[in-house]
Amino acid sequence: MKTPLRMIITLAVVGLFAGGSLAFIYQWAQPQIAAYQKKTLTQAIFNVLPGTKNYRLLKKNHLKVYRCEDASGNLLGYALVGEGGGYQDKIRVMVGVKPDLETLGGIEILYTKETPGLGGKIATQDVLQPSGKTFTQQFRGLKISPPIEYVKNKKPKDPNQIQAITGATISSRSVVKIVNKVIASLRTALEEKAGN
Amino acid sequence: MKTSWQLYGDLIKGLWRENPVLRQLLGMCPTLAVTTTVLQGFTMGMAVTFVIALSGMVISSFRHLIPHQVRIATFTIIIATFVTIIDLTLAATMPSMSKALGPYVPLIVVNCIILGRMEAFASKNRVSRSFMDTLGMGLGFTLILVILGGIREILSTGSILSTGFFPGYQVLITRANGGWFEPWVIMILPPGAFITLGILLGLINTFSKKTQLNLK
Repeated sequence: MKTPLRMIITLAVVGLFAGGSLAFIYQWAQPQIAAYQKKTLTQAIFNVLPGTKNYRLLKKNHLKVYRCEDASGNLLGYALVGEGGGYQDKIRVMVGVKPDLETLGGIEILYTKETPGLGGKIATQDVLQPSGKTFTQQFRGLKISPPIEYVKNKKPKDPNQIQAITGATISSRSVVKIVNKVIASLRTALEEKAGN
Repeated sequence: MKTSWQLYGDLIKGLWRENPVLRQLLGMCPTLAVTTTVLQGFTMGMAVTFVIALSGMVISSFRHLIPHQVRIATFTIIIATFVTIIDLTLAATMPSMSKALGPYVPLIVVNCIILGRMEAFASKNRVSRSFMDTLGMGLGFTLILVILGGIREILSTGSILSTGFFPGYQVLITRANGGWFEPWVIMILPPGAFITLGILLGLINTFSKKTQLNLK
């Protein structure tokens, strides 16, 4: 057999087998990957708005808002994902806002590549001194108008303040900025919806 | 008798004498990138072992059928298939590990150890020998990743074998837990990988140079 023909046949056969086996594996893996993603989302929503039993996706100007309800259908608040630049890479945060749009339910860091041991503390269980809470715990029940501010190395005194992580002001500031931006876009979206 | 000795030799040469990381200095990218913990190093090593051993068997079985001119392309397709299989399997069964290893699993495709063994060994030797050779290389790679991961994990957190659910066994009591040890943040960062690997290579080279001199 001529060499070029053999080359083509070999590559075609190998490619065919490769494609076939990958399609087979994908069929098996895809549902499990999707289930895991849904589970992580549900868990994150539950963490930022405890008590959530059902959530419904609302879409407005490319903004995805999850409207969260408890078991008896009462509105618990809104959860949405915000994203912005951190110190190393982007940071993705799930933000839960109470129905009055004045108080935060909480936040959860979904994605971060911040420096471990410094900026990485935005997502870990390290307790900050002197505030006595972890970074994300500080956002539970935080007042959001006027917008959230951060203080350095002291206990926050206003209800809209959090303590920044020592040595990681940039990461802390990024999270505060992302959360404030998300709240602003949520307010606009809900106002527009009410106006319609 | 001779054959089984040969097979044994093919297997163990990858662990030490021709260790892919320490001797051939191949596959440095995953070696440096994923060795922040023992478990990550181990998972990466096992993924590479799976890919290299199966690719080695497949390529060795078809070595007479693959035309010389397209052998690298064929090897790459076969390796990439196994890598994608392991990538999807990890994502489906160990999602948090898959997230921690990030892009380094898909990047196994371009790991020089694998293509190197296919070209140097699997495409020229029979199936049993190729399987032992690639298995040895994969295990040798895993061994070094686990050692590096262990050193870095202990020095950066004070404990070892931590997983997502389990904080790990305390080896050095950290100051936060009332001990004396202050964790070295640098060990979890990329420079920590370079420093550890450099010192390890230096030690190994000094040691093997001494044994060579003694043999003379």
